[in-house]
Amino acid sequence: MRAGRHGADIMEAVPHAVIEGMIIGAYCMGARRGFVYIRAEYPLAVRRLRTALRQARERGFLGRDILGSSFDFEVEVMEGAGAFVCGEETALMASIEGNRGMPRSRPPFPAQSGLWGKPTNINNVKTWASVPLIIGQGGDWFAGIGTEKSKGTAIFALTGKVANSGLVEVPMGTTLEEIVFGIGGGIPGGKRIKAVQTGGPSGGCLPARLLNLPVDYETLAQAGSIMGSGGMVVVDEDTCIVDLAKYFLSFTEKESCGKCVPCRLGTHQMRGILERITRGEGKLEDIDELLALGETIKAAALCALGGTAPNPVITTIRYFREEYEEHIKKHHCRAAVCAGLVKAPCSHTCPAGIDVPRYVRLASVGKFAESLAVIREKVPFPAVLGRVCFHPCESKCRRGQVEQAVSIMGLKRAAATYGGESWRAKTRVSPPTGRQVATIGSGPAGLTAAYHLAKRGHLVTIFEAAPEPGGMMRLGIPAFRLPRDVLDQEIAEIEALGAEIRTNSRIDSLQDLLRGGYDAVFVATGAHQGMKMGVEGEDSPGVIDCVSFLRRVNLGEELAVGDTVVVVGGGNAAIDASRTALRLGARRAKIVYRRTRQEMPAADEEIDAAVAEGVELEYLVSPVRVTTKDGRLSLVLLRNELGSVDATGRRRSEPMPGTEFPIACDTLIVAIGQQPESTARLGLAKGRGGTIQVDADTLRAAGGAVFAGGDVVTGPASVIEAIAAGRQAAISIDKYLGGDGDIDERLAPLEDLLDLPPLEEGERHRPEMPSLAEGVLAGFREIELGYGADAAAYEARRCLRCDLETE
Amino acid sequence: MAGLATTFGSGAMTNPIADLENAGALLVIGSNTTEAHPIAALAIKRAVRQHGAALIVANPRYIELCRYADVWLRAKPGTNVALLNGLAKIILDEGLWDKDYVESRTENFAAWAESLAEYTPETVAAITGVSVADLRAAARAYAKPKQGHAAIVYAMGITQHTTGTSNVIATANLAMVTGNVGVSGGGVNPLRGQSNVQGACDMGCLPDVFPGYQRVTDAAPRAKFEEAWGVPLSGELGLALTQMMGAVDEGDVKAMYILGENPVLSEGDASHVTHSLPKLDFLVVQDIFLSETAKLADVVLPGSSFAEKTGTVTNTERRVQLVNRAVARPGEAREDLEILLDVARRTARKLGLSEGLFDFAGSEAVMEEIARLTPSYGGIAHSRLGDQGLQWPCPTPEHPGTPILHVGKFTRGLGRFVPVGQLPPAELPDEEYPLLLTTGRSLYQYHTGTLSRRVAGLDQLMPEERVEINPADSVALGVAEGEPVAVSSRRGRVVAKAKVTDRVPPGIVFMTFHFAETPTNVLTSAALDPVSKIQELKVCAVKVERVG
Amino acid sequence: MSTINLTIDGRAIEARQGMTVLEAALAAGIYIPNLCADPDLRPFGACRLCIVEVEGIRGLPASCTVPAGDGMVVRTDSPLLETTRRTLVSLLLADHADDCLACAKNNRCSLQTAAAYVGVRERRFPKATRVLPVDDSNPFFTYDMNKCILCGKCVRVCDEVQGVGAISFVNRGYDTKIGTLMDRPIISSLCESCGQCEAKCPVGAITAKNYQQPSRKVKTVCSYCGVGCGLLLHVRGSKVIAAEGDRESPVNRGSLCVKGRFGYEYVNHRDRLTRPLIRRDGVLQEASWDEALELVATKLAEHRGKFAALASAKCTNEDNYVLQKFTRGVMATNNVDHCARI
Repeated sequence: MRAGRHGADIMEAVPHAVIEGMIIGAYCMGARRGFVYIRAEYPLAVRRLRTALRQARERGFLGRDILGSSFDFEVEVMEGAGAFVCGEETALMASIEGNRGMPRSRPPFPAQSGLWGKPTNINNVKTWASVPLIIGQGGDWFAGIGTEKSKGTAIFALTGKVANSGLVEVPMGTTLEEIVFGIGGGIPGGKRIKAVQTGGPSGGCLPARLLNLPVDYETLAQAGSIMGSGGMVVVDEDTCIVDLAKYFLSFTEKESCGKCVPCRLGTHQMRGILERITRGEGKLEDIDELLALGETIKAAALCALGGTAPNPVITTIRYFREEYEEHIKKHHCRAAVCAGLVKAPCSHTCPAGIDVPRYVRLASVGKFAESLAVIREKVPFPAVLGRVCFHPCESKCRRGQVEQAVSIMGLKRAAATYGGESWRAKTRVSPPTGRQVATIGSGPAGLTAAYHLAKRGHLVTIFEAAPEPGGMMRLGIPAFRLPRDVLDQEIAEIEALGAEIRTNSRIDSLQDLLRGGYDAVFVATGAHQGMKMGVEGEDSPGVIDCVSFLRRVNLGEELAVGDTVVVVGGGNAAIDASRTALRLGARRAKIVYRRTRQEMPAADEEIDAAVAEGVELEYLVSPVRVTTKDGRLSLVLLRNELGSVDATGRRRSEPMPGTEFPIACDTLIVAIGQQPESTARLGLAKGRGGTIQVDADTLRAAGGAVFAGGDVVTGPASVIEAIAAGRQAAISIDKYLGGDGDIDERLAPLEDLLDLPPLEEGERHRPEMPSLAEGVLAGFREIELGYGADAAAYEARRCLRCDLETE
Repeated sequence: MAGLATTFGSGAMTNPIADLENAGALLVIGSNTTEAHPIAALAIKRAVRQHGAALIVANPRYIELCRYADVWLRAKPGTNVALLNGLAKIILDEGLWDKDYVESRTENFAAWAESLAEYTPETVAAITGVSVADLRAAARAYAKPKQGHAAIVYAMGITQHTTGTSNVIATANLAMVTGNVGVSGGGVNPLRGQSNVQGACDMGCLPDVFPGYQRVTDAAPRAKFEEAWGVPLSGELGLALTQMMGAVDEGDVKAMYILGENPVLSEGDASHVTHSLPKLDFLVVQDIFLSETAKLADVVLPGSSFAEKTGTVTNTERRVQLVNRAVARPGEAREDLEILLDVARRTARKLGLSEGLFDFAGSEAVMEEIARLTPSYGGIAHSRLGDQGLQWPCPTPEHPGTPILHVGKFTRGLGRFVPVGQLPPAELPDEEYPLLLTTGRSLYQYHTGTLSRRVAGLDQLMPEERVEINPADSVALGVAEGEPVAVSSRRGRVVAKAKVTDRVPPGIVFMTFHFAETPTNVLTSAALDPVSKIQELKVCAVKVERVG
Repeated sequence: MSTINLTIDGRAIEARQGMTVLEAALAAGIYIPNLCADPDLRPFGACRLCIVEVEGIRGLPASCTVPAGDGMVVRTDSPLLETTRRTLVSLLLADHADDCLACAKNNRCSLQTAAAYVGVRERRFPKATRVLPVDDSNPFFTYDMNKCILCGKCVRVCDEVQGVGAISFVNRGYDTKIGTLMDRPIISSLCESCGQCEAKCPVGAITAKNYQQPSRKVKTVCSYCGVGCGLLLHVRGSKVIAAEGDRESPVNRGSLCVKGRFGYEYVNHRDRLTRPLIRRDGVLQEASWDEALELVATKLAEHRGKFAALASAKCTNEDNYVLQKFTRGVMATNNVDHCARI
């Protein structure tokens, strides 16, 4: 018998059960010697087992003539050095015999010729410990636990990104979800679960969407994993799936006994390929090579170690192929962990690739002008982003693992505020090329593309259907978050480069534009159509979709919303709508959301701000219908409970029948999502949800001179993602027009790294963001006031400078 | 071999080497098998490691086989008879012997059994220095193997003593009393040191026998050879090698013909040889190198190496095998047989004898005459030897050869128990020469080094003599590892570097005899076993001193 | 001994009880590529090249470790087997120094044979960058682990056949290699220089120094101890260039010790006597055969009866027979002996 992690736990807790099981087994089989093979790393288990063995001998349960039965049996404890392969039964026997722990081929099976050539029966500690229970309570009792084919319980060592880690024993057939969320308490830090690796290092990696799988031998095998040694590692969004596969494979590569070719050399080559991918040196064919090698190893390896070693790679490719492709094609690691690709996680995570560490470092020494210049090397909207960016950078900030992430967004605002205009002196505008580009839409994508294309010497015209430019920055984001003068100022910089903005100009035909002298067109019309709930009474007066609501208010309409406003949804738009409603005179604003705050897509600080302003939140409810009575609306809701996890790693809401209840309101704002308005008239290939289909790498639409990007391609996303799309469009269009696509600039000199102030040790908390103290709800004044220069520098000094880490 | 001839009627290895693998127990005594007979040792190791045979090693020095041994009997040198008699006594006392076998196959048991009376375990322990417990364990392991039979393997470690013949007889007695002769996995198996020692004996290159161990003193065989050769033959015993030097000193031998041997280094009390050979009127040496002996010759005849000749050799398990010519001889060197025949013909002519005696077309023709005159080789012919060779006795052309001797019946009829008693070696340490020297071989060199010293790699692996000395003795003598020491006996003195090791017990030093620079045999004694005339090379008294 | 009937590649095959599938196939003339199987060694199953498909057995078992069973249906070739074998050979080649032309085992290398058989003609995996030190410490052979395929034959023959156990697998995973205790040079290990590892090594990892290809091999018997091992002398021109254990010899079954395998060098030694020598004025001087033989015959004839001969335990039976016949028949004495006692 062998004892690994959970076996050690059993041995620490109930060594007598194990011994009793072995005695019973030995009596049935006629065995005279028993061995417990246990890793020397479990000294407590070894000690307790030895104590229990001594007690058993003293009481005559072991040794000669046990209880007068003339049956002799003795148990010896063998301490192994912890080689992983010694979990394989033939290697385990070799180890007990005093030889190198190397497996051999079966047959002969241990039952025919095992230890020292004698028939040998090998079982897990858990199995032996179950024997007395089964004898005592009967086989039917035991068979009653678990599933049809997998009887009894499974023991898992639950670890990783899970609130409660430790050993878990559940009946076979329990779902992964019950284990991870029910017992494990879910994922800490508000992160999303990404995958679960079951079966230890040679098990498989199952994606979040398979969390509803029941855990039993057959189901796991079907999904590409195994029960294995009972390991269960939970990983969240901060884990790179390629890196994870590499980690597990490195382990099996090292633990390979080295005997057979496929295991020893195959895992080595696979690991090499994974290394190259995580360094950004991968090729797309590598993915197929990994699968081919994996299959060869599985088919040809001598023992189960090799036979299962490729599992993590094969399953991660099966379930997360796009993440491999991102590493290979875009040199992008979405979890920002692959050292070869990621200089600093913040800048790696920034869709626009802003050199965050550099501008933070400049801010830390008060050089805000240079700091601003660094930001402007990539984006034309520092002040906007300094206020409204959803800052994915901060979620990966290493400082966040200490106390809070560096306020990268706050520092951007500081740079914009204190950075002056010196950046402009260094900006480079190429001589005119004589080529003309039309940009349809003046949102962040369109304006960014226009900005860069203008600097490349192209003549750019921006067509905007709305009366004012800015797209969602103006129409979607309320002024109390983004003051209009700030936006105007940054748009004016773009116009100053020669880009012409024509408002109230809706384009209906791309062909007309192209015939009219434009050499290329960039479609960036956004996603301005609200989604419907699809419930009865949705069209009643007083029900308004969030996009329309915000647009009308932001364009200056004085809307009457009544006393009570209910907002359906959980995104930033829902938050913005509720806070806007309060400013329009509503006395109560309530957000109803189908899941819990943990699953809400809205930014945490936005939710906090809304709550601070008095917005109420009702979780785990879904709209059923809207009724109108006496001019008042009534929204009927159904209570939900959280169910299985969906593809985004969030738990689904599942309605509980019979829990309907109404809430009354004057205005009902539906903020459950938005999509592009119909672009059929433009004659472009349509994707899901009204989006336009383009080549993912170049943003070029099928056929000729048309490019598209931003929300109209991706569906509703963020300002920074739209800016990133604008940059890509500028690159592609410049190349299309004969340029080299080089839109990067160096606006600030590289700083002397030797001149840096030393890193300050110890805990340092993020300074509180100054905000309006009074009159918050009176008008649309900006709430947050931004850091003062000193506070900003202090905050910047919290940066751990992980980009400077030596390898 | 005389010991086995006395007891069994035939003095050779009873079982094939490969058959050692079938033994259930093995007693390896006086043989450092892994170094002196490495491939024979493989069968022993396989028997132990792969088939679970019990291994008893009797050797005063730690040898590699001790690693695999169940019991290691570290008896003092020169106490083998006591040791073997002691084992036999325990076997009798504990009833571990094979009564049926003894009754049906042997004679003189009672007298022998009686002779063992004084060899009680306690007495033997006192003589040999081996504990009673080890004696008993060894006796039981040998007498009652878990499976199969028990084999005895020995080599020069028990024969190169003044009591060598007694030692061999004692092993034979032990094998008979346990019913281990004439069976697979059993037997008494002397391992011969050189490629054709067995053949040289078989061919009558001994002073007392014609080919096939037909005694020169017996009239019938003598008549047979006289008739076959057409010359009168002497019925007097000739001189053994060790006696020849004395005869040279006395003027009884005036001329010598030495074929491919180097007695100047190989013989005990080698200085004696060095002194005597020049006294000859005429010395011919036929060899492939100018050996230390050849340097003393009046005529040196350049012969052929094994790779340049065709003929047969007989290995230690009595297997006659073909040696085939692979390459041409260098320069004017000639095939040994051709030289010998030429010398014989010319000499015969000068003496007016018939040259026709040596009118052979080649070695194959010589073998035809051997077969005709040697019953045990009666069926041997080059054409029959093929890949497998033939093990004698092979009396007729149809006979398949005899892998195991004494099956069902001893060569002499009944196996004869012969009482032998423990006698001290001829020379024991005293105040002047307080240490006991024992000699042996190394894996990497061979014999007097004539051949192996001329293989650069072998000489690199073992370039010089190292005197093995126990740490306790080295401390007492103030000798450190690697330091040169002088080893002297009553007969001579040599210098070599010390190797401090507990492979040898305190009081004993060990040397090989492979190096002309360190001619160990100037130290050893020429004391002989009275029967076999073997020199007592395994025991002599020496002193060791630091040099410089 | 009972026989077993099985089907291999659609052919009905008869095998002996106890044979592996590989042995049965090879005996029936069906080749299955293999690198670690050896008739003298116990089944090991490391290289996996001899994988086959067996009805009723999961996966691709190595035929060298599967006992032939009655009624077994085996396929030695299929697209899956071919692909898998190609991958395995490619993996080995990636980890193998590629200086074939300069390698002592060129043209007799099992890895080359396997690569040719499975059809690997180009590099699929990047070449290994690690360089392991070459152990040149033994005078007779060189250990170059950069060419090792870890078939384990050397380790197994050293342990199973020679019973020495000087070398073993050390380290784990990719770092696994053949090494000695504490990774000391082979010369400082338990190694007895028998060269069996070199003889078994299917690639250039263990090679005899100064190896040359022989023009022919001659069967004979070793000239050293009394065991009488069967030898195949490798000959090139008039020189012995190597010795090989004769697997057909019942004595050694292919095994040899250090002297048997490497001790032939004296045959070609410059010290060999090439002309007769006669002592003139106290000095040995070269002479003609006729002169020497006449002198010998004359002097011996003078001393008839006062003569002694020392025969040789290194010479043949025929040589010795003639010498004793001469001594007894011509020199009229029984004074003939040899070094039997040492």
